[in-house]
Amino acid sequence: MAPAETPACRIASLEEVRSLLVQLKDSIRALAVDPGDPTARVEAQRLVHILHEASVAAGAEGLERMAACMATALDGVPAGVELSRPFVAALAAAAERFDDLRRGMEQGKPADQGQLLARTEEDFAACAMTRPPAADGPEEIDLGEAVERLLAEELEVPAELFSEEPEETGPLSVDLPAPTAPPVRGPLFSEAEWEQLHIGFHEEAEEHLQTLQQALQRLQTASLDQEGRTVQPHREEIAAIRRAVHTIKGASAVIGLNEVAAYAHGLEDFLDRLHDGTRALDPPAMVGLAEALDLLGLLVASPEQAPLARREAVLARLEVGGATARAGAAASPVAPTGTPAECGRPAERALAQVGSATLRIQRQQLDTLIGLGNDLLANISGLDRGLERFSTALTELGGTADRLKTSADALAQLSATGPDPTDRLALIARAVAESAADAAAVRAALEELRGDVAGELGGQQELARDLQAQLLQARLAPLALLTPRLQRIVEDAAARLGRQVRLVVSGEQVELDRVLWEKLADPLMHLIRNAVHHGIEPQEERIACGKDPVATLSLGARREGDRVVIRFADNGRGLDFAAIRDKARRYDPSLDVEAMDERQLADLIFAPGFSTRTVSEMSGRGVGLDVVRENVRDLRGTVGVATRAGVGTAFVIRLPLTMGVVRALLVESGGALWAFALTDIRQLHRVDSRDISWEEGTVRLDGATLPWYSLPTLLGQVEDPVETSRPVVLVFAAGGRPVAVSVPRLVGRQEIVIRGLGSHLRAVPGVAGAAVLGAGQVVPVLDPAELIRAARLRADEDRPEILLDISRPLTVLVVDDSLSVRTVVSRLVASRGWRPVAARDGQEAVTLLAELWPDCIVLDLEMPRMDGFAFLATLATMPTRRNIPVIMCTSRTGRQEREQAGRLGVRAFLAKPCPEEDLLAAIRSVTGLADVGAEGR
Amino acid sequence: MDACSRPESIDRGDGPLPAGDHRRPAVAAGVRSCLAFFLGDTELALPLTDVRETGQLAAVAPLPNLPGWIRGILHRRGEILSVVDLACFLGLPASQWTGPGQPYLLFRQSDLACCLEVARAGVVVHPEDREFAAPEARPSRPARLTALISGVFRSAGRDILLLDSERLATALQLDNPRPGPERRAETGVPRGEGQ
Repeated sequence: MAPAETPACRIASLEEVRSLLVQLKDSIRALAVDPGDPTARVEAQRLVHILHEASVAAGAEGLERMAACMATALDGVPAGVELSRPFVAALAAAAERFDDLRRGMEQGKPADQGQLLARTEEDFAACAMTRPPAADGPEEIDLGEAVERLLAEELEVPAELFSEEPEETGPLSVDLPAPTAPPVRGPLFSEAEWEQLHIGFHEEAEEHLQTLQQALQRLQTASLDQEGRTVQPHREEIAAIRRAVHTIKGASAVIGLNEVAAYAHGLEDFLDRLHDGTRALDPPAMVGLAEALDLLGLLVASPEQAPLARREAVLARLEVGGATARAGAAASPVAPTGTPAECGRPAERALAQVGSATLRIQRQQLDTLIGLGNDLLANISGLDRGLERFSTALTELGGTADRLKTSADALAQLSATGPDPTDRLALIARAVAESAADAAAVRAALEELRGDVAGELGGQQELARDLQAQLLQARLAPLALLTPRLQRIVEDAAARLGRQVRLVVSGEQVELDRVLWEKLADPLMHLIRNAVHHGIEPQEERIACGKDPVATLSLGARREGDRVVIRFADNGRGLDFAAIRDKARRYDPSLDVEAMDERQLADLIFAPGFSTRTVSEMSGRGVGLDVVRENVRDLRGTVGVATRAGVGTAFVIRLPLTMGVVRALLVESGGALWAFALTDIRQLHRVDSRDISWEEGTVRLDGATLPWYSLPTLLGQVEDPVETSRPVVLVFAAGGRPVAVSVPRLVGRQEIVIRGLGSHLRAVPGVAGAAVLGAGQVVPVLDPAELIRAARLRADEDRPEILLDISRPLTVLVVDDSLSVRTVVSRLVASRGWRPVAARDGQEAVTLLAELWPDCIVLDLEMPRMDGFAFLATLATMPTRRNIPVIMCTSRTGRQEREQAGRLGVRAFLAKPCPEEDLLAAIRSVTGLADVGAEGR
Repeated sequence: MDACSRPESIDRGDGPLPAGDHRRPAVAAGVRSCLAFFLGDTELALPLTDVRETGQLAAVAPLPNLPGWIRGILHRRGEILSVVDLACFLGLPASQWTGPGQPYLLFRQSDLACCLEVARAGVVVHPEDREFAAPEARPSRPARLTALISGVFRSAGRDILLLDSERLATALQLDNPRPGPERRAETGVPRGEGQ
């Protein structure tokens, strides 16, 4: 690039220099935080070279030489070698000296160029980054320390809960190294999960590569202008390609595929210029783009076929022929090392082979089909009830026909005794008799029709059930899916704590919806860690007790009717009720702890925040068992605990097999219909009203005395003064014990689909949802445990019950078009006991927000259908949601993007790939958890 | 509402503005079409853009543990909607609940949708800008109603209170159990800063 020929050009070039320097300093700051950040490094490299060109254009020799020095230093570090911190410091110092030179020039007080340059060269020489550094290589994450950190964070208070003092204080105070590798490496994922992430990335990348190939094809067939350039309206295709490349870059970076990320970043620069119009899409550019995209596919599928030299050559060819040739580097065009055909087809074949044995279907599509199957079954069930009413009407018709015949006979007799058999009365009698006969015939025909319809309806029901079962089968997976992961958790925890523990699994073939297993994974991991850390005694203690020194954790699953029962047990020391009671006194002094029985005390261990609210400390996030209960509740299941001192503890999780259609019991109270899921009902009895004590609120049932409630009372209705001598009583589980509820009238059973309560009523205490019956009637579906709890709170009863202010977990909505990023961030959120909800883009997020009320939103910028800025604009129009704090997490971290995000109300702006702690800190900050304590949740 | 009973009658042509409030109700002035309706003897209106339909309520399923101004829920064309006793919500004399057949307005404001139970749905009116007046505070008028009125206009000799849709939607929301950073900021706790 020739120096500026006019003062105006020179001034403009200097202005560009100043702007570029600001961006370079941003990149250097990012490298100072994370020297292994590939995006920041590539960006810094790019900016340094552009800075050099701008300096040449400005005719500023001093700046030119300083920029060249920085470029040479950066270019001299081999790819794949992480920058050392001294090098980054030298780079930062060089940037400052560059700025000093620039200011000196602007102010007419030139600094000593020679001295500044010499110092810069000395700094870089001292770093010796041109050869692989021995001591500054990428740090390895110590998984043992990471597990230790998890244990310390998640099990810290249980150590106090279940024993007199923490057995080991050292592990609870380890300082972990700052994460330098991509966030996903580390304690969040086991090797098996890591493999799954890679598989998921490749599947996701295949989709994006197909998208960009299709867009490229459209570009290639687009009409050209006279100079052979693609006409402007095809910016859409360029945008689609850019978005796909951007997503591949982000997803690969987050799972540590740095080479892919770096190459995609270089490609993205070119695409940015195409999109902005600063680079024309002439035929050479088109060829270069096609080659570059093909190589991207090859790099994803078969990295060994896309070595660094080839990648650099392809990127260089993109630059050649454009307005900005790279100065300071070899400028001669490099011959292509492979034709686009050679690059593209192998890549496509390689990727296609990954999934050739399966048919890929959108998960949303499958969920839609399952939903339709559920609705079909529920509708048919509604028809069933209609048929019952039809039968009732038929019976009435039969009775009417009989009465008509009786009247006709009486009339006939009356007319026969009259003077003239043909008189008018006789005619009427005959007419009535004929009508009676007709009515009877109609009844018979309808009866036959009813039989036919009932038969066909039964057949439809069977078909619908089969359809539902087959669709659900597509989502089913066995327990064996989780076993490797759980095994690893046991091994890690046991090794760290010096225990010998074996995991025995039975019922691995039991199948559940894959989603259920995913939701159960975290609870099971919490149970395992809890058991190893607090349930299992040290070896010496076990030997002294005559136990096998190798402790056993048993995990079993079996089907019981329409439920799956999962049992997790240890043969450790059992729950320490004395410690729990002591804990309860400190947690809530108002609790009548002495009156609580062991079952109620055991129920306390599931309370979130219970173990953190102690006299000795306020830190720590709790036992993690609240996560167990919360997750199981989300699945409409129950969890119970049984324990025996010195023998062990067992947790029993019961889950309904299907999440869509449930069998419900319909009851009537206060003139309205209500539904209970059959899975919630333990028993159903008809009791003698004399066994119910209204004053004490109890009922005697099968020799036991249970707490008793009346459903109208629970619903806030007026009690029906008419009492039945043998009322119907349903037995539910509430607060860990059976509770009886009498209902005025049973209506029947029906299969229903439980839906939300609409956009206005988010959650109503005691109501799980609503169901629409076949006739269009809406029926509330009651949550008996919550209904009872709400009634108790309302009545402020003085019962020895756990009146805990159990707050719901923090809900984080993760909006990102990359499956890998959604997976990683969701796992990070869940590991903190928070609840992640994921959306693929802004549009899906808006749909979810109709019924979801997250505590914060983590939002990507570049997404299909609705990008981050469009989503923010839409969010601002939602009066009930617009105050939800948003954290933007994107790799597009330019000043424009930051400013725009700020204008649209973003509370925090993070650069991808984002270190875990930064994201967690941002979430805590924007949701106000920052003032609770470092690990208050 | 009877304009003649107001202590200050306003001649929009050349009369003085009401003392204490010299602002023009800009929001109300921008509304071109409204649907008027009655809650008892009080006539109100909502912008037509926020009232998608009127009709008669089908069977409403009651729900427990909710404020008394929520009648329950109903099902309408595949959607579950809540039913709000608007008179009760606004603090006006309660309307006679006649059950199925009670008139309602389907109110939609951004992400909120619910059925507003009314005594009688009126007609569509098209107030001119000059017909709007700022709402006056009246001791007899419930505070919540006053807070939700964006303007008053006269039509056919009647005063009609125009409700602000956004404020109404916000007011209808049930409490979020988790206080957000804004509420914490009110108590002096600093909010998190963006990067």
